[in-house]
Amino acid sequence: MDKQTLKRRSPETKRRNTAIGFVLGLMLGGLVDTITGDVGLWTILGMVLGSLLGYTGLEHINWMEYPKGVLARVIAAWILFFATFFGTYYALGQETFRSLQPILPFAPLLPGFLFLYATGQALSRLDELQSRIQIEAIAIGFGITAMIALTYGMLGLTGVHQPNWMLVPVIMVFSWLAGKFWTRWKYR
Amino acid sequence: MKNKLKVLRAERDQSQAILAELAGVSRQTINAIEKGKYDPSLSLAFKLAEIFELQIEEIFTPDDGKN
Repeated sequence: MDKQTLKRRSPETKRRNTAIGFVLGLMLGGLVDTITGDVGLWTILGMVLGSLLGYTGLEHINWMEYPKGVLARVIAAWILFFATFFGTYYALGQETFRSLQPILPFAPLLPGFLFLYATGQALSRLDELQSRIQIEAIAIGFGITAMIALTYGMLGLTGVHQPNWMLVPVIMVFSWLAGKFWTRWKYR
Repeated sequence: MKNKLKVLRAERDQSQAILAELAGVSRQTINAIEKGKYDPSLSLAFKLAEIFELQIEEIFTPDDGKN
């Protein structure tokens, strides 16, 4: 077994992959919950299945090697931001939190800034190719999100459906991931 | 841009990981440069030339018909 394969199957890599799977599951579950209105159910299912998939399957992908601690901080910031974001969304629909409604929408701002700070710090510590991959992925993600959001908004004008703005950040994340896979493939 | 990085590395029996560490970049970056998927910045090219104790033009050459 070569060094790379051994590294991919190391406990450290398994833990990282499980964390990545958990975050992806959380986001996908959150997306389905947002669409279906089943608050919580799909998110929990996504987190469990994502973690399992991360633990068993992600070792087969040739990941970029990021500086130690950088990925962990970004993932932690992601979890905090999305947990606050979807938590706020859930709380806004509850009668119990009616008195807090004027201030609740501002709740995700602080984790949002922490998320931006962690991402900025991570980008500054990457080497030149890794930075390029991330920046290209962000640009692709921005473009795809803009196109989908505009089309989605236009569809709302036709009366086919009521636009749900909560989908925009989720689309943004998945567009960025698509951009990331594309650029990783390009510089493989 | 073409380069002789893989040949030079093989001559010195160096792994991509070792070269990456010496150059202060990731192994994937060295891999992408070797495969011609990515052209390094001038500062990284100078760094690689310094590691191999060569001139930049002895490692990196322009593609045919592009100069």
